[in-house]
Amino acid sequence: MDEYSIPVPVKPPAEIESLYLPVPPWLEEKSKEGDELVLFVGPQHGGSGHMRLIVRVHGDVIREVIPDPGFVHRGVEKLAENKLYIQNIPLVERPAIMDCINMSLGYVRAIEKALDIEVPERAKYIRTMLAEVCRIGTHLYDAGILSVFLGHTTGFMWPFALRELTCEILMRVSGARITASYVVPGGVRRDVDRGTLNFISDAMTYIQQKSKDFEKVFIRNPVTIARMKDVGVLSRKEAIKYGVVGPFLRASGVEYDVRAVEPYDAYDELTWDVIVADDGDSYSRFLVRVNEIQQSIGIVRQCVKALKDMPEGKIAVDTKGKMLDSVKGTFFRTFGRLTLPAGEFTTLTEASRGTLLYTIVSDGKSNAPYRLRVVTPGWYYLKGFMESLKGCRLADLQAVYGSFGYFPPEADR
Amino acid sequence: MLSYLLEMFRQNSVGIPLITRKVVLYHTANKIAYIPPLTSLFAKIPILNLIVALIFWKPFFAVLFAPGLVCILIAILFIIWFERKVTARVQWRYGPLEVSRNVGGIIQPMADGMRYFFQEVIVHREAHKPYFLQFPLITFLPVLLPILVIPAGTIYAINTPYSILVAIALISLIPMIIVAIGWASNSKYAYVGSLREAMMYFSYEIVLMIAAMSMVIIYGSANAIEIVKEQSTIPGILLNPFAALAFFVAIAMATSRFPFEIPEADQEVVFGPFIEYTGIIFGVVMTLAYEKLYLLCMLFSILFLGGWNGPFIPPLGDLSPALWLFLKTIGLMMIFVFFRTFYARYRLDQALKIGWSKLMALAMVALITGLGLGAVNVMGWL
Amino acid sequence: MVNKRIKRIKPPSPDFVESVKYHLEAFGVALKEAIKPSRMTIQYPRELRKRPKGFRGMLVLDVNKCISCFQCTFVCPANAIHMKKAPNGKYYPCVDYAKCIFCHYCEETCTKGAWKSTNFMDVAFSRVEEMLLTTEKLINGPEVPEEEREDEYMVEYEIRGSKLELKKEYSPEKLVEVED
Repeated sequence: MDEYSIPVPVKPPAEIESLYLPVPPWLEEKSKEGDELVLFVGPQHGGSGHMRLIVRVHGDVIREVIPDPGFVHRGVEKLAENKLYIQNIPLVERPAIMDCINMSLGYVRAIEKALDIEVPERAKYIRTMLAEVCRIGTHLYDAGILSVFLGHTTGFMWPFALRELTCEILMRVSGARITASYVVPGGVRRDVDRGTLNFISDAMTYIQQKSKDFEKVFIRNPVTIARMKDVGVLSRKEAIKYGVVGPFLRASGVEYDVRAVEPYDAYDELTWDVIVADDGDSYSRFLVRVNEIQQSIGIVRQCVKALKDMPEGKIAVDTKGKMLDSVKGTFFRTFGRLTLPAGEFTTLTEASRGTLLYTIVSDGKSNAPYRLRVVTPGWYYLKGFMESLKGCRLADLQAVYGSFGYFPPEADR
Repeated sequence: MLSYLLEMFRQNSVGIPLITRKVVLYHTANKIAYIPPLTSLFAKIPILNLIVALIFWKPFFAVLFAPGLVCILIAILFIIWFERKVTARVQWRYGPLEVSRNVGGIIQPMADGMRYFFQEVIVHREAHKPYFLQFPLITFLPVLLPILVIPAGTIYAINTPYSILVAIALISLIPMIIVAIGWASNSKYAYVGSLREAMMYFSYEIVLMIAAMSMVIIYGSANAIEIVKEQSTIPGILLNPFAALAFFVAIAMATSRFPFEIPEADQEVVFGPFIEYTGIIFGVVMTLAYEKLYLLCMLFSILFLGGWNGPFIPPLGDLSPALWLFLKTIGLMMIFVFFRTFYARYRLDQALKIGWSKLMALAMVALITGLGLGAVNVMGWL
Repeated sequence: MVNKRIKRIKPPSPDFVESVKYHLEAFGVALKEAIKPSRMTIQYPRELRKRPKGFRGMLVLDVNKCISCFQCTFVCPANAIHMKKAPNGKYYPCVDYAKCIFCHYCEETCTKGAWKSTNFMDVAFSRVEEMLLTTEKLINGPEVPEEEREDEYMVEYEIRGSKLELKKEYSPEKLVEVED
């Protein structure tokens, strides 16, 4: 076999070489002195997402993990500055498309806060219901990814198959399977009819029933318990220190849920529990989310019941306070020329993977945001994720990765 | 010289009435017309008769056909299809279907093999090229050599009182070659993978041997033919279930079946020692675990399930016991691949711990049971 | 914390007997599914999922209703729509399916209802240039030639009690249907 080389001197300029972060050239040599092996996990690896993890392993024990995110950075914040306020709705749900309603809900609520719009009751319930459907879908997605990281292929296929039902719900309600773009300032885009509501409650029954089988085959499987118990432990103190959010914070024993602390939409009118675990290990992080699926099913049921009792119509409100039965035909006229008053408007949302922050900075004149700040849960808990890996075995990398449900597109935005 | 060889082959040839007996076409008062048997078709042609006789010579037949190469091939093609199909069924899918829809896509592994065959073999720059290419082929030695001493009924190559011991010793060579493959690949993941393979080797090997030995003690012989003869009334799994369980788990560890699929873990070390292989060589190393599974399952059925004991099928002649052995082996392999559907994989240190604590204790219980049963000469009573 | 209850969960820590039970349970569930699977996969080119009413698919333009108000161009978040001058002097929209994200803001924007959705979303073209659909092509809507059709059944998920059934029916004569 001959080797071919192209006789072109390809050498990066010196000023670019300094940007070779976070892999400094001396890392390899230095690790050899410390009897270490430097492993590059990702971005093309069977067990990593679109992200590189630089792992320093001593024997079989991880000494340090250096994250290298940004492979799927799409510049959502910058793109948002050149678009109308409503055009940003499909954009902001791109980072986590399986969690689309929660992602757009935070953004839309920031606009509503700025314009001081009170959303109609029916729209509130529809939003809450779909947000929880998305939460179920995302948690199922993460459970599947965790399973396949541990090598359990059945545990991968079943949640993904059940997630198909949440996609079907979104398709019947909004018309699209994942990127719904369904929430608009002042309400939602379409009404939900009775047949769809029946299907939603049937689908919830089916998911609940099938998740019992999933519990037997994966969650309570002794191999799973052995792999995840006491692995990647974050104590309550550490979790707060490293700024972990959402279910992962609750798994460490902190009772914080944005839906309960600062209720938005219909959350304060519904009954549900905040799931908290004390151990802070991978298994609790997983169990908290599994139990949240059950709570979400309960919330969706309550919403379906409330929506059935309500008269249909009146699902949106325009800036002047006029109730709309449908946005069809008046979409651009109603929402296209939104101009926000000058100032900063921040909302916190409990997305599936944790707290989601949106800040809109408006100059008060233009119809596009002056600055949109998006901080996704993935970015919040990346530090905690890396810290919890210290002292784990090399094979635990996947278990901890899956237990955090880290989703690089979401974190990179 | 040739006639001597021919005579030697013919004296020890496999008798399969289905193809060696004459088939009568019609039979009148004074005339009998028959189709000559397949084996005597070339009886008069100088070189061909030697080749035909060689093929049906028992030692050669054992290595090449049953229980050797052809059976391994059939078993692998079937078990890979079965593994994918049953996993798909449990996972609410269809599995391989598009290649030959009418028979449920059963020739899919063959199609995959073809694809591997025509794929480019890439040898990366860091690899130790000669060993990188040689080792996958050398693996056939420890896979095929045990066939010489593992008999299938009357078809055997070497009848020795040490057959079980020699077979296990030869099978134990396979991890060495896998470790060597990881060394020759010269890549970080291959390094981690071969370390895992070596660690797993430590965790199951002694248990496997003790479990086999406890059965050898009970039967009072390490000759597979004797062992199977002893089991004509009661199979070994009932005599010493502890040994059977220990051997069973050790097989799962040895062949990296779930939940011990640790050296090749896709999501952790991306096929471990075999990470750098492509094309047909990857196909060869990928089937290595299945070949090992076939051999160890065959040993399991000889030691615990009564080997080739089963109703005799007259038309098959010598092939009948071989068929029974093959069916039992395939059944066992089906159980092993079914574990994929409901198990995750253990961590390396957990597998080592299991191997040296629980499994070792079980093996010790098995050994004590074996010693006890051997001391009272249970086989003599039965 | 407002009026929400806190529920603390305790992870199971099985002893030996429970652990054996859990192993057997996992095996039992897998065996049950292997014997009688609750399959929900469809075989794609032969079976298609039935799209619900209101599905956001490829677009059709009713050119008689279009008043050239340009609103769909303004609202499109992906800049996929642009207007082109027709021989009669009016401007009509073209859609670039390389950019379209199927948000259907255009359909909701149109004051006269000129934009209509179909139940078809298999956006496959052999060349990039073909992805820009001109107004003439938008009027006719997406078409699948009869000889290229592979579908035999339309499948719909139906949940009856605790069972998910795949309701199959034969494919319609015309694959692409315009919603009203």
